[in-house]
Amino acid sequence: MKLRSLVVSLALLAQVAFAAPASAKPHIVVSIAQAKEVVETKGGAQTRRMVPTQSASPGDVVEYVLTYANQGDEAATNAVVEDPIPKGTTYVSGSATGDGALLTFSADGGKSFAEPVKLTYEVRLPSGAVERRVATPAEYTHIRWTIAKLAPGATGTVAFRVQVH
Amino acid sequence: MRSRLLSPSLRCLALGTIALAIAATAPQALASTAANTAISNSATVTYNDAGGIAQMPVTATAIVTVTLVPSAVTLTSPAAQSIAQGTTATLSYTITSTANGPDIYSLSSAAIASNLSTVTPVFPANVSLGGTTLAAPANNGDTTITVPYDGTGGSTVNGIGAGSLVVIGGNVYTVLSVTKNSGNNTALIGLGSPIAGGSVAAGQIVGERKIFTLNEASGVVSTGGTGTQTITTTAVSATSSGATTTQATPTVITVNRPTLTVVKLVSVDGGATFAASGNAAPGTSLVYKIVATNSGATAASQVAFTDVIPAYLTYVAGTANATAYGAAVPLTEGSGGYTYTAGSRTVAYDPGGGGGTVAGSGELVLFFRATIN
Repeated sequence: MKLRSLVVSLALLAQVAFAAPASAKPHIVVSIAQAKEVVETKGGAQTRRMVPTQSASPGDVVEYVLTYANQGDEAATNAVVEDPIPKGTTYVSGSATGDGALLTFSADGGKSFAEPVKLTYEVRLPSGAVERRVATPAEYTHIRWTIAKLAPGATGTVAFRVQVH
Repeated sequence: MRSRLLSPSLRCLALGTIALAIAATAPQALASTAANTAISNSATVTYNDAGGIAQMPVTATAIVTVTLVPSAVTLTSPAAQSIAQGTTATLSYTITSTANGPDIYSLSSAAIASNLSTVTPVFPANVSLGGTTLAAPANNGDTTITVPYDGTGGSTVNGIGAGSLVVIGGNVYTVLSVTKNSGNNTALIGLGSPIAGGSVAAGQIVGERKIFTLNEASGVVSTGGTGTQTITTTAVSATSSGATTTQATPTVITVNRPTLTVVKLVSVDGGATFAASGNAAPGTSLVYKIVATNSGATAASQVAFTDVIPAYLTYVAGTANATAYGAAVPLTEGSGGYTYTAGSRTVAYDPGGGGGTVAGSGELVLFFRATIN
């Protein structure tokens, strides 16, 4: 009797021991903060600063700051933050930032991405011919930041600005 | 075609888009987005674990709501008009929104009187007008336009609903219906007549139009027969006092009143000639002519004559007649408003109605005879 209960206890212990640590995995969370550019004139000098906002007027410049973090216990690899330029706005040329991330854009609705210098898109002319054009920032439809590796506990931010139509 | 640009880094962008605009269509007003439109930014993060296995993507969304940019309305200048003293002039104003969202416009109006008493105009305190923008181009022949969803349920979008008048691309249309599609972030407005006069680009304002009435009583003319009230009305956005419009041409209301003068003449030659005075022998039958002249621009009504026969004369019955517009009408004592009261020696003529009305620049003449005793 005592030997059997001991074996059962040992078996149970073994099960618990092997089931214990779940395999390590990454867990990314992301949030977006919105801010609006406000111009103030004090004593003849104009200063611009960004203030958090839920609203904007046509013509206003809005800055989106995306904050991401790896709350898991393992590194994340090939993290791609993709953000379509919101409908009703135009991307502000040169405004995208993101240290440690590879920055690419799309001008064809997210079908293809490339660095700005190389970014082109195809247009079908009325004649039926297809023309390849270099995209201007106003024509960007999506932004992508690619982070090769994000260690557990690490965070980062990427940002860009748009102008409201 | 984009809205005004703010920072130096956008200079290159500006040049590019301006060049495009010149090549394309006729110049149009700046593009805009309707107030209450939700601009939604959704970012997605995809990633793998250390072993390269794809993990569940995560998404974050943030929303910016577009605000109203107050804008001065367009306001018509009602045409000048003439009224008779004692009546009220009615001015009809057309007011149209040029804003990207609903707003309330406070009205004020001043009446400047000339040769007339001061009268304060009566008009509504304010007018509310809806406004939105085209979310997609409106093409010639379209009977439905697409505008942004305004974030609410109900049958109006940014204040515009069935029965509203709206101006799109300079033309006015009646709204028949509003259908909202929150999932698509749009609303469809059904029009009573198709878009005409060419396509209207996305981003152009769809402004509500209303008509309001201002009433101005005539006041009292000070001297002579005519005075004027000059009306100037202003509409200002209740959201921003800078968005203000004053009617371009003040409305002049000319107020006319009748001006009667009376002249009494006598004929000593049986009616051949009349003068202010004369000499005659006893027994002569004098003919008296009393002329009431209206030098004003508007009719005088209820004109009535009274005259007392002086001493040494005897009134001759059955000799009176009155002329209106040149036609002589014989008068009988005791009828048609004509009487002779012997006790007071008073001739009175008060025909009333049309007979007693003297038109502007007209006259009414009463004749009767009396014999020198």
